[in-house]
Amino acid sequence: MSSSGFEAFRENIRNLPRNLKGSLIRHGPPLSGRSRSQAVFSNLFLHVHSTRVHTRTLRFSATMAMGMASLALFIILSATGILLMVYYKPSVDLAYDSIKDIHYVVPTGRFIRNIHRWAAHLMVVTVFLHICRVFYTASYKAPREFNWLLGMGLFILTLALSFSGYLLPWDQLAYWAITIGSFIAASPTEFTDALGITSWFDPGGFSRQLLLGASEVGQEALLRFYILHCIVLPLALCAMLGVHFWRIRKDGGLGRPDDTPTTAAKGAGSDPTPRAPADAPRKSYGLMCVVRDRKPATNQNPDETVSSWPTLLRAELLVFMAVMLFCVILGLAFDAPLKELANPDVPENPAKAPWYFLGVQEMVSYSGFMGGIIIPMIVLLGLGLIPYLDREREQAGIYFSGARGKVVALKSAVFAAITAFLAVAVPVKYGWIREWFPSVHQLVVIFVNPATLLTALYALWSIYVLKRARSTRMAAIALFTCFLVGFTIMTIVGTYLRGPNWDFYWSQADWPMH
Amino acid sequence: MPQMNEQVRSLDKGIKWLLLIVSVATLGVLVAAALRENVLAGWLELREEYAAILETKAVDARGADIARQFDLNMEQYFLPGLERVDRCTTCHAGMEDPRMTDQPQPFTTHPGRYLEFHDPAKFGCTVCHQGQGRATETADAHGRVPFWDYPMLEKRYMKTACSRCHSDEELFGEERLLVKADEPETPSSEGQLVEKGRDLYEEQGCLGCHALSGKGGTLSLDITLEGDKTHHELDFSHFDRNEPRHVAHWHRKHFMKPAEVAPGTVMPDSGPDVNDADALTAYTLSLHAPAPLAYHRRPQQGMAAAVPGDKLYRMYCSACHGTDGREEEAPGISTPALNNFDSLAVADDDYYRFIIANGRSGTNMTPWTAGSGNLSRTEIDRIVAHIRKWEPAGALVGDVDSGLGEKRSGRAYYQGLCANCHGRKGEGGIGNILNSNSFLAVVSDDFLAETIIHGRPGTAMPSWKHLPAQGVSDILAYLRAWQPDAPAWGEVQAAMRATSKKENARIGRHLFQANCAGCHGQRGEGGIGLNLNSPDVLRYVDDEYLFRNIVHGRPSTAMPAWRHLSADDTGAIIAFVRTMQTREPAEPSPAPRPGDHAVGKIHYDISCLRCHGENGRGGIGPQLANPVLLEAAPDALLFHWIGRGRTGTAMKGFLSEEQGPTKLEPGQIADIIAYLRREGLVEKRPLLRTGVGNPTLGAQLFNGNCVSCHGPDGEGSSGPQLNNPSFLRSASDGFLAATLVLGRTGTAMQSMIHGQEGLGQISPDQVQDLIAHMRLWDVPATWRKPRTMAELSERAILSGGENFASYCASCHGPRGRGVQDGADYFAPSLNNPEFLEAASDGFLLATIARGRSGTPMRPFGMGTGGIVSLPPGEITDIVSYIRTWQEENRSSINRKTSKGGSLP
Repeated sequence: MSSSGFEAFRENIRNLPRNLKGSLIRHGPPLSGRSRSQAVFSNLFLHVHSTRVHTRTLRFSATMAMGMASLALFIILSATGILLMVYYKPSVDLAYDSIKDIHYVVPTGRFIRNIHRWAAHLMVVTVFLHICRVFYTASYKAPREFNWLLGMGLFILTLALSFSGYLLPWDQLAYWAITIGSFIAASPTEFTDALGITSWFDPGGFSRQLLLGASEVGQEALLRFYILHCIVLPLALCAMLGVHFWRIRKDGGLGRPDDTPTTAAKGAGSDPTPRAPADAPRKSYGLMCVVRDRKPATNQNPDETVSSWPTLLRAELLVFMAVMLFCVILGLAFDAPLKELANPDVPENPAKAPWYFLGVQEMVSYSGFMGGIIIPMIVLLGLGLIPYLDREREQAGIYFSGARGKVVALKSAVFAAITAFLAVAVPVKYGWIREWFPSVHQLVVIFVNPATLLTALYALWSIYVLKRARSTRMAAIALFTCFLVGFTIMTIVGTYLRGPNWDFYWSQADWPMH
Repeated sequence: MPQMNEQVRSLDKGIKWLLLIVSVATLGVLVAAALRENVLAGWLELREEYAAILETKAVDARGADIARQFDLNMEQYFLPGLERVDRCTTCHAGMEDPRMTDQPQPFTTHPGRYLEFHDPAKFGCTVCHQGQGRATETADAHGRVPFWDYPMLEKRYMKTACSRCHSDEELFGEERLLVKADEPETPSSEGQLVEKGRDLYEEQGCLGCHALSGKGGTLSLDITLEGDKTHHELDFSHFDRNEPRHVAHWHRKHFMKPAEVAPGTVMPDSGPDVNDADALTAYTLSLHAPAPLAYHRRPQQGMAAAVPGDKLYRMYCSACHGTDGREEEAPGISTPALNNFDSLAVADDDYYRFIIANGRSGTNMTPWTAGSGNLSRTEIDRIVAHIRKWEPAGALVGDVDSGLGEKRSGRAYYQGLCANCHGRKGEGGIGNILNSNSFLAVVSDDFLAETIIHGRPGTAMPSWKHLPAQGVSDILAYLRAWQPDAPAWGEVQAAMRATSKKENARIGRHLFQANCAGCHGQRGEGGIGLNLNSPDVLRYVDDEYLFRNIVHGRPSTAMPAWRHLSADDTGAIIAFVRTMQTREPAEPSPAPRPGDHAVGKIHYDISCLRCHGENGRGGIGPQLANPVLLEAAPDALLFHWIGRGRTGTAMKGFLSEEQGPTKLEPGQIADIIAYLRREGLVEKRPLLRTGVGNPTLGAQLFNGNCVSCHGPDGEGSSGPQLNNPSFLRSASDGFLAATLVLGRTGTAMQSMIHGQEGLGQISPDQVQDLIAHMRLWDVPATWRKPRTMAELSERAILSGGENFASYCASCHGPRGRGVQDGADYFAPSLNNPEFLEAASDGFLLATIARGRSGTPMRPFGMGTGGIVSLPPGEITDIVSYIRTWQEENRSSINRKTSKGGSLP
């Protein structure tokens, strides 16, 4: 017994690697379709994927990989962010010095901070492009309406994360960008002031107070932003991200055209067998994969799908690594900006919010209340409601829903560009209501400004398209394109063409030196 | 193996390859980053280089030890007290090693002996050198990068850092630490540069506009922390694009060409010497917030030494008013020239004090008291005293003599300078009546000279210090010419002969009682004046002696010169006086021999000084050194009086047979006479005979008889001001007594003596009491007590307003707003609460009448050669009109005065 016990022990040791592997991966090597499917669905981290994926999904043109890139950036940001937290001290006396130490002394600190900084900017871009892709491929349509809403939420969270991180270095750039941001938050005051009710109803002042914890940007604000940036917002984003991914699966994977040709269904397509009634489930769920028809066809890839393992996972890893490469190159080549220590006595001129808010800041320069609160809210509300207002059955996955949509988008872009140009150029050249009628009531100035006019024009244009094309989808494309182009132009103007005192300059070389 | 169509297969293959390439590239970048950070770091290479240097220097055991212990890690000074971390020694590794003097930077030894006194472990590097202590790359560490506010100091401005820990006392005081640390010591070495900059700050009056450590002007920025400013806080917008954005460069250019850097500034440039601009820049850069106390050598102690007035003036006033009080340096600020004899003559010290303390709102003159310029009361007083020094000293009163004056040039002076107030014929106007017989009879040359030369502060009578003594004498001669010519002795003799003695005495009796009895008593028993009925007087003097004393009086005593009496009247008075003579006339026995004045002085001091005062200036006894007395009385008379005494007075005879307090030989008396006659002893100013009267009784008399016209404290109301220090200084007791007794014809001043025709009920004995009371006013009780002389009637204001609009508004602006309202009116603002409060009516009257030479302000008095001649009444009306503005500004003045009044 003892010898056999010893034998068994020896045998166990010999089998240790295999048993370990077997306990870790509870199925055989992912070589067959079945085991590959198993590899995906039995893995906690991978099971959010469907086990099989349509080959179209793998194509770059289908998604531009923007969603995946956003996730990759979020992972990179989390990793570098945690490393930075080790050295960062969220106190107004120490924050700037700790950044300097990270820059000069902490091993690879500078590199990590650079990556974190550039990845943060990139993530705003990729999330935004992701939204555009989803919109133009009509992927927001039923049954994916709610996921579109989640996407909106994720976009806002991304901006909030980036904005809250902006303050932490506690340099001049940070201080004044956040000061401007907090004034945008306080812009309802302009409206309540004009009504004369600020003394007992001041939502603007309250939101600024809530954001800063004080009347000025200071230690309270720094701590709030630190907590938001490191705990609250990342947790919220993770949670929402989970739901977002889960809904992708539950809503039937990536949207794609109904008529995607499937070789597997060639014969079946002509099958005289009567189709299932309309209310029958459109998909019958097999054990592990989705099969489009009623009779199982063996050894064939149903619906031109391939197993997620390893093809999809490899593609995802490629996106991740590409993003990573881009980030490390940026991190190696360009240092993240760090200006002078924050000094409340020396305002930056122009004090600019982070670039993604400069479109808003441009509008705020016309009217804080309309440009900073009302119009962004209308735009976000409009974006969120698109899937509910445009319920035309459309094929998902086709850019601009076909040639007609392309024409509409192009025309809208031209219209939006011209009107946005005028909205910027006219006040720069001729001034606005306050200059023309100095005695007019402040409420008029608040409501009649280039930004509100532009918004109204875009709305009218989309109604016009709705009438002409008799298609809510076309109207949605028109509206979305208008806002996309208008906002981009505003952002470019705010970023490149606005100088000290928010005056217009063709180039920074023309700025009055100070 | 599930089938996969070709398309998918090639896609998958592409992905695989791409993934490989991307992964390898990522790995490559990571390796590159690691290499750059850990192997190729610049500071690491320098450390290795230094390690090699240490090896070559390791010639002895200690050197070898050092070389062995040296490691390649980063080095830093951790300085929590200064909130700094200085990693400079990571590269500058040889800083503390004296063997490294021959090594190039960054390994060389720190020069000088600084490290002996400044332990790097305590002070670090950047507290002196600036730069970025935390940085580990050359450009960043030296701070010459866009986003570091404090780049390393240039060598020439190196010493601007010392003031962080060292007090001004240590740096610029006796010790001169800054200069001591200079190696080598040259005029442009770093320490001297800062020191020179500080001197220039004081010389050029920078603090007139800029406040430094709480003291200084408020016109421009406070520069207390100017050295801590970063380039963001300076306006570079007027610099060329390719000029450096350095703080030091800004200051240097700003000092050399202020208007180029800040257009529209009134800051003067630092002159052609570039070194001056450098020095000013250096001092400016040294104006730091102090480092924590633990880093100071010793805490600042003691009070700074009192700064003299001339230095205070240069520091705080000279930038606008010019170093010598003539405006010159600040072209953009219009300031009145202080060094102008007209304004100095018109303005009293109180005026300057008030304006300095309270400023002049609406102008660039800011208040300098606590809360604004922060100068103390004593400092302001010292500045006023310095300003006062520019005034000419004025002619000596002793040099003035109406007898030496030339009447015709006196007339010219009078018409030009005096007539605008006193009237063409001395009939009065703004100023007092001068051609009053009784005034001219009483007033001495001294009184007039004193008043003309020093003026009467607080009244419209300015000082005339720029007039030479001869000029004043000329004026006096002209004034004296208004007195009728005294009858000649011959005429009087003739008149006396023409009438019988009895008749003469009868007439003389009336005249005596009207004119003389007030002092000499009804029967010549004396009082204020001499007792004429003394047996020892009339007996020995002849009529001519009496005549001379009546006609010429006794200057500076109560005995006026009765020149306006006719020959008949004079003769009658002499005849009447003769009736008082009780004994036969006698010749006084002459002195036995000519005296020796040196010996005489000794005898005088022993025997006479106690009553007649030093040098015969008078005391209890009358003034002996009086020209009229000495001229009229022959030696024999003096000999007789000294020898025999004067019955009825305290004067006893000094000869041995008399009962005098001491015995004198006849020869000794002759010596005393010689002493009295000595040239130069003729002291014209009698000593004030204080202590003779009783001031308490005098106060009662004053309250009973004088307050209704002269005010309770003699500050004047309808009558002139009496408590004016200058008046009290120039008026002798005799003048006061005579004026009290005689009154002043042509004015409301009547004789105050009981029994005379005047209003007063004062007996002659009480005159000294009254005078004693007035003498107690000598020191004014309050700092200032402005008196309003101008009449605030509707008529006066109306007429004054019209004249102001016609003659003044074109320069001072309508309603006197002056330069405040714009460029059209270049003259100073008059409608300014502080000015109106500080300037007395006299100041205004005198300035209008007299003008201000060297400025466009022309005189407006009659006959002064101005644009127009205004009669005195119209000038006072203008002042009345100006005063109405004060009423309108009353509330703000109250605030200001209460502030000015509560000075420490």
